[in-house]
Amino acid sequence: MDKEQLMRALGEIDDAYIMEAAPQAVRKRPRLLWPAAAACAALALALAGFLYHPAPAPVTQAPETTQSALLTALKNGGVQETAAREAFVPVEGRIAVYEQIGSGGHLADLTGEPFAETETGVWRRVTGMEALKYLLLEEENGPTLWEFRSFAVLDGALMQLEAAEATETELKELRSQYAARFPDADLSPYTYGDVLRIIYGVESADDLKSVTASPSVANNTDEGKAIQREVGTRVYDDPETLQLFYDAVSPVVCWGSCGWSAVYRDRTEYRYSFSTDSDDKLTSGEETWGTRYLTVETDTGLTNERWKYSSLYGMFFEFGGVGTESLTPEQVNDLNALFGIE
Amino acid sequence: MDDREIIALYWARAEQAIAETDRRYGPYCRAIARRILPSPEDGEECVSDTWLKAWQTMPPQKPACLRAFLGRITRNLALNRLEALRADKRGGGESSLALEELGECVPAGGSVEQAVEERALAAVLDRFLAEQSEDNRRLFVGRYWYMCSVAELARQYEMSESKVKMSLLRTRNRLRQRLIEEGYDG
Repeated sequence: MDKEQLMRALGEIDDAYIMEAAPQAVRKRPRLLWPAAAACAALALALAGFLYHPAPAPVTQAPETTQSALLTALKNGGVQETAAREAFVPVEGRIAVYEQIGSGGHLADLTGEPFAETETGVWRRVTGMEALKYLLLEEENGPTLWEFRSFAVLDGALMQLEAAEATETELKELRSQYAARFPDADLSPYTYGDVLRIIYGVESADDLKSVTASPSVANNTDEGKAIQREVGTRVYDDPETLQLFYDAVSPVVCWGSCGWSAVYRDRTEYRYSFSTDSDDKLTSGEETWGTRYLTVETDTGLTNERWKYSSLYGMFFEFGGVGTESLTPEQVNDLNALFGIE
Repeated sequence: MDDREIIALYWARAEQAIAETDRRYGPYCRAIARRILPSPEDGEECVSDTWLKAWQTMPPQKPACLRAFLGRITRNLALNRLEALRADKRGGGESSLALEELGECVPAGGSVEQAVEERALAAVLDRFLAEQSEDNRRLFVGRYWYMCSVAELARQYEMSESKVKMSLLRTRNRLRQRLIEEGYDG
């Protein structure tokens, strides 16, 4: 045995020792491991902590705050986070799911009128920002910044639990919780048109400034990177293309955070695969050819970077397990033509 | 999206698996790779390789703890890359220091040619770690699994650097003794 072998063997020690010693940014006392049923418990807690107190949307007259100004305010001394927490906020008869993305910095200077009150706290608009992509939550140490992820969809949440092999009792419990906490809310699947209108203030294609399509970055082998370079990044900003895009995405039906179950249900194979040479569409490069990560920019300077189009599945997907229903062959054809996927 | 759902994505051969993994465990794996490898570019490539390796191993694997599973892949790939860099005389950094320290645990007379099953040795290490106090174990794994510097460990556990060094020294000595008892003394 030599020191290299000892170093290698150390790599194979029990998971529990690896987890308990994982470096943390801040940790004063050793942390308990996350319980196995964390997902269900977290959801139950989040639901239990919700109070349905929508407040009327105020008319703000403050100077306009752009997305870039907001994110700059966060960068200057603040902390950027990735989906650190999630919370439910009533918006236009639906329940929007927001994720915390930051705190500190100069956010306090941008705190606008109250928008809603839940047991999580008082939610405020960003000063001078009509759209609801971002909200600020009043907290003890100052406001925290939250970003819209999806709307809550009961059937999507049930499918997510089913995929995690939940029992009938757990499913029943989730139904009861939704019924009790969101008695009057619309919990049905929504469309991307709803997201554009309610969250981004986009009523028509005229409100869009551009759509940028980039290749998927999931395959970073040399071959994958070569395909990424060949696919390249394209910006579409002519009115005709924006109208085509708006018409194609507006009717897309989204299941919210369904854990992709809707996808599995609808897709038992790659319905629109270009070839059948390989079962592994990722490392064969086919997925990189056929996937586009989109950035939709509105004329108010807001960007939606959540939507990812897969021509192989014939659907959109987003981070956080948000998935859409399968598109019709016509929709797939339209989008493929638009993004030059052949 | 929790671990079970991410693993289900790998099993469904959905590329979203990699995006979700990067989102959830990217910072963790990057931190591991950065401590072992000398440049951020090497670290980034190592993390990309980790996602591909995960893609190739799930299925058939269905890890009980995805975080540790990915961390282990990153660590192994980073050590492989480090070996290649060393051969190219570009290695170094915290991992080299940790490796030298760990060399103190290797009993004298041990032969490089001695065939050692990593798994069997890992089992010895597991038993050894189980017997250590929690604080000593965290420090030891933090130093020799994660390659954290002594200063980082001191900050994380709010203790002086000398106390960290002393704990590591004592644990190494105990490990050396244990390895001799287990017959790893050539």
